[in-house]
Amino acid sequence: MERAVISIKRDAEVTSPTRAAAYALFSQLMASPHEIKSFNIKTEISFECLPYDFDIKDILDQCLAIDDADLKQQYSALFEVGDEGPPAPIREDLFLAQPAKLREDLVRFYEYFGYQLNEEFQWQMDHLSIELEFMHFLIAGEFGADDDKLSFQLGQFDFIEKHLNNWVPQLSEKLIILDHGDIYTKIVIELSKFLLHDFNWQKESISQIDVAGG
Amino acid sequence: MKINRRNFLKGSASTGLILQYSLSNEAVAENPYRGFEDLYRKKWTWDRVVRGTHGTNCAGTCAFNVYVKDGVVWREEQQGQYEQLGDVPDFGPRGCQKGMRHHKYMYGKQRILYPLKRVGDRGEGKWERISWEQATTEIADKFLDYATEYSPECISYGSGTQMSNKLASYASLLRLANITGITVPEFFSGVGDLPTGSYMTLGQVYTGDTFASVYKSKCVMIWMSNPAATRIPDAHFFWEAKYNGTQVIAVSPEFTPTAMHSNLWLNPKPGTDAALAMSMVQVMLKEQLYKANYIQEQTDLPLLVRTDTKEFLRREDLSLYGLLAVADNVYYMWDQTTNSMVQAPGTGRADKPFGRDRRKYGSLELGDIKPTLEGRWLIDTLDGEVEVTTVFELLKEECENYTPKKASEITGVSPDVIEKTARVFADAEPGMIYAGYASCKWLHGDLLQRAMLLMLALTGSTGKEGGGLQIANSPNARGITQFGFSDVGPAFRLISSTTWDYDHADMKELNQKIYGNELAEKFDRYYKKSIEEDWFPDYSQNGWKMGIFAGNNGANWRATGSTWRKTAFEELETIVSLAPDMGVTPLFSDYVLPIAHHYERNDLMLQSRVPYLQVLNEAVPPLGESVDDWEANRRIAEAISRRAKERGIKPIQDAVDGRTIRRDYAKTLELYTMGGRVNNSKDVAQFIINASHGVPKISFEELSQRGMVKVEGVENTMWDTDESPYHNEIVKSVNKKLPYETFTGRQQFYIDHEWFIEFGETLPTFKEPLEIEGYPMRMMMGHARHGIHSMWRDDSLLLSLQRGEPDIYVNPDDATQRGVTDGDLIRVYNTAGEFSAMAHVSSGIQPGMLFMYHGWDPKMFKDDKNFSEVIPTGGLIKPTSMAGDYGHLGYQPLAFAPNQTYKDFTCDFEKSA
Repeated sequence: MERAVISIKRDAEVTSPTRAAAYALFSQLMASPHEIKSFNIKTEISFECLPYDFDIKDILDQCLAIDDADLKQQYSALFEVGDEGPPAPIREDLFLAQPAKLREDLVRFYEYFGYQLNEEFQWQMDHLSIELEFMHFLIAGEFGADDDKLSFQLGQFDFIEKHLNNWVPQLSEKLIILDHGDIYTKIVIELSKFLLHDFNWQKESISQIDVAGG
Repeated sequence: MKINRRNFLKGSASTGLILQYSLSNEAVAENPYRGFEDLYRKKWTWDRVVRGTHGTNCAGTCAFNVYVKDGVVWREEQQGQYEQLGDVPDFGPRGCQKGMRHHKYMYGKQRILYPLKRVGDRGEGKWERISWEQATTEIADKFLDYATEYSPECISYGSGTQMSNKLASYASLLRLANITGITVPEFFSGVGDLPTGSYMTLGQVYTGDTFASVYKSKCVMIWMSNPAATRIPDAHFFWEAKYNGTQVIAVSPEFTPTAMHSNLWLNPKPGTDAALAMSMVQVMLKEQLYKANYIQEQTDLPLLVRTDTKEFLRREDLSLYGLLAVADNVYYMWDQTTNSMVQAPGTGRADKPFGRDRRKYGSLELGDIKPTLEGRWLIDTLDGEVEVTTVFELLKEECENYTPKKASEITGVSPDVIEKTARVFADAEPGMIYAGYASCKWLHGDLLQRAMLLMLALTGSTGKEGGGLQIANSPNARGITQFGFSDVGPAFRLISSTTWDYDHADMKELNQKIYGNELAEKFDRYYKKSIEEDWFPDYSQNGWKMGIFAGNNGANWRATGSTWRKTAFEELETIVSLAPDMGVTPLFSDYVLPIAHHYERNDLMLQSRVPYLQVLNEAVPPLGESVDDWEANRRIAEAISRRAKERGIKPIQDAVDGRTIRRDYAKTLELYTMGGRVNNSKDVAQFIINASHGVPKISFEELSQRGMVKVEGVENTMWDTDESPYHNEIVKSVNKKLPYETFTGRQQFYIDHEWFIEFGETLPTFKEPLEIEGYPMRMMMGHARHGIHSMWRDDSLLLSLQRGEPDIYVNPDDATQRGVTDGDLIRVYNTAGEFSAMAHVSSGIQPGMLFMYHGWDPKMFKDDKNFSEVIPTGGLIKPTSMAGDYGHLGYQPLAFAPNQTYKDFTCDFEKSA
């Protein structure tokens, strides 16, 4: 079985740069502030070119107002340390209690599309920031592909369905329950909404037709 | 263009999140993606397969292949390349479900990935992630404060079972401790694993052979042990031996997986095992099933004892010369041939170190002497005429207290079964007792071991291939100590964790609360006497200020864990844990340093029963910011040096056991790295290989490729040659007639130290285990099938093979009486505390007892209270295990030290509200 795609509404030339930027932004926001000063972000990004109504400028402004030390403390307390593991693991595999094959699936995605992590990050290929970066990577692939945009479009759709949307909404719910009053809860709530928007848009922009011979 | 992740993050920040991967479509050019099935069309491949094992204290040392792809360990597989040694089954393949699960566990939520600093109360679980530099600098400053204001002895660096088995890691700890003068509380006695009864009798605790020796036994009694569950890679030796005709007899109060496979199962009431052993001795004596030649030559049973003083007849009893030359320690026996008293061969020349000269010059050869075992004689002494008899005679008298009928009343084992078992064992040539470490965890475990050794001596089994007491052995580990002491010489402090606890964790008060003032005062009096007499060291003069715990989950396994945490931890000003996984000990620490797991480090394993040196390779880089123990200690050493220089701290004069050592903390790093000659754990491992006796001289790189290599001197299933890296002193005594390293130079069953006379323990005997009045249930614990101590105990898959949560076995009758059904949550309680666990109703458990596999972390229980809440035995230090000034008795690190006990208590249970 093979899937064919009619991307009549996709207009990748226009949507890809902004979508990619949005994923990159979220990737950066969800990276550990111990590894990178993550909120050193230029805020002139415009989300007007997104094919759906979404903006996180308010959250970004709040992020920029937070002291770096506080940011690290908030991040670690939620995602990195805890006596029974972090309260809200920031890695898909951990968050979902290490289901079989999950990490293999991720690696197969990355390997298939040629996305390579450098050594220090390989063990956490399921980190939310890395999964979001991979989405950025796929969108960039779609943007740059001359002949086969379809591969990257389907890759995005499947990856978000099988992975990001499989756990980020739960992560968001978990953080709401934990109620630490931190910036990261707000970011993940927005991320969850964003993923839903993007996923729905992809469903609309990709018509799936089953054809024989696959 | 290839963008790495870090550049991506930086780039996306600085360039306004433009498309970073603009040329990334090459990968799908030839393989268009049309669905997730396409991901799975390509064969999964490995980047490399690495040799490795699990550096934990299961004694398995199993050779594994570790499969790596993209910097991740995905699976492991048994290496299985063990050759056959002689005419016994081989050691491979080795492994168990825990090791096969480690590729998942190492990425689990329990991993500690970053240096942590406590920000809430101890145990609250509130942490701040900090840098290594901040962590080590703050630790170093506190270290220097304590070392210079008080003494380095007030800083303790406790290693645990996970640490001590990895040779390079332990050597690193040893070196840091030796350089700095901090105190190392050893865990061997601290976890109650030290066979002190073996040491009392043989002058050795290292009596075990390779696991294959089981196959050579004609009758093996598996006593207080459950190898079918706890020695998974080696349990096959028992069953292969059984199919080869060996009688396999299990002795345990509960019906274990081992008992299930044995020819015979004896189930004495908990804690009555010594009565069972003494009864079998009684049968052997009564029916004259003993090997007279063996006991005449190898044991003290023919030695003469004064009946008036209960002391051995010594030369000082007979002449003024002897009185002046007390150190000669000449003992006597009665010669049948001449019908006269003669000096026992091999006695005399017992100058310190006790017995060693005797081993060099003396011999147990009897020559023309035919020692009499039975009889009484009148002897002229400086005190006048006194009666003397033999130890053998006294033993016969003692054994009359343990006829099978009397022993049956104590143990619950039928007299017929006792007699039958004694005969079977006596008929075996040789017989073996494979005893678990549980035999050391009773207050009177020493008496049980002495009784076991008596059974083995009477049957001539000790020192024979396929015979003897199999509890412990250990490599001589010269490479480790040489690494620790190189350039600086031995200058460190080593004590028992048991005494560390007693000094520091208010254990006398606990004894008073649980066992009453009389016992508490009595035990305390003997403890203090031993310290005052300098029989045992005491480094607690300044109190303990700082505790470092490496590979040591002491707050879990300590008897009276919660009390210990409250007392010991509250008084420590600074607590540092070095650990790969979060558990109760790191949880209560002030600083936690992340340590690499088994597949993330280079190291060596050399265990007691498996004749192979095994490698640990760094298959993948340590996760997060974790590092191996060598590197963690190097960073601490670097910080101590740096801060000592910055603070202008002058060298101190440190008095260690009568010597003065100059400690220049500014040079800590230089000394630690041997002036830069040793830079990583591979270097340490190579040093150990080069310096260790009996280990093939091989490069670490070659060992890394091969995985494991057989040690030298393995001609049969015993450690019986000097070429091997293991202790073989007992075999030498049996085969070469060299005197034992005991006061009498023989297997010593009679100890006439004044404390032993006072406590009625001159001979092996049975003493009732302690109980808490009003609490009828005796709670037993044992090693688990699905965890090695606390490691892997919380693994989700392994939990799914059990009941998913801590469970405790109860007898159906006891359960019914309390309205408890299988699966109920029950509250177990006594005057020490309480905890709750799921009732596992089983007819394999005797009425009146509870059984629980150990290792469960408190966090897995209701209210964070685990089994240690009801175990109040941390202060039960047996006085005789701190006796000294008696030949071989006196503090010997890792040989003679007081065990922490775990068994002598009772409790009750009810259905949880």
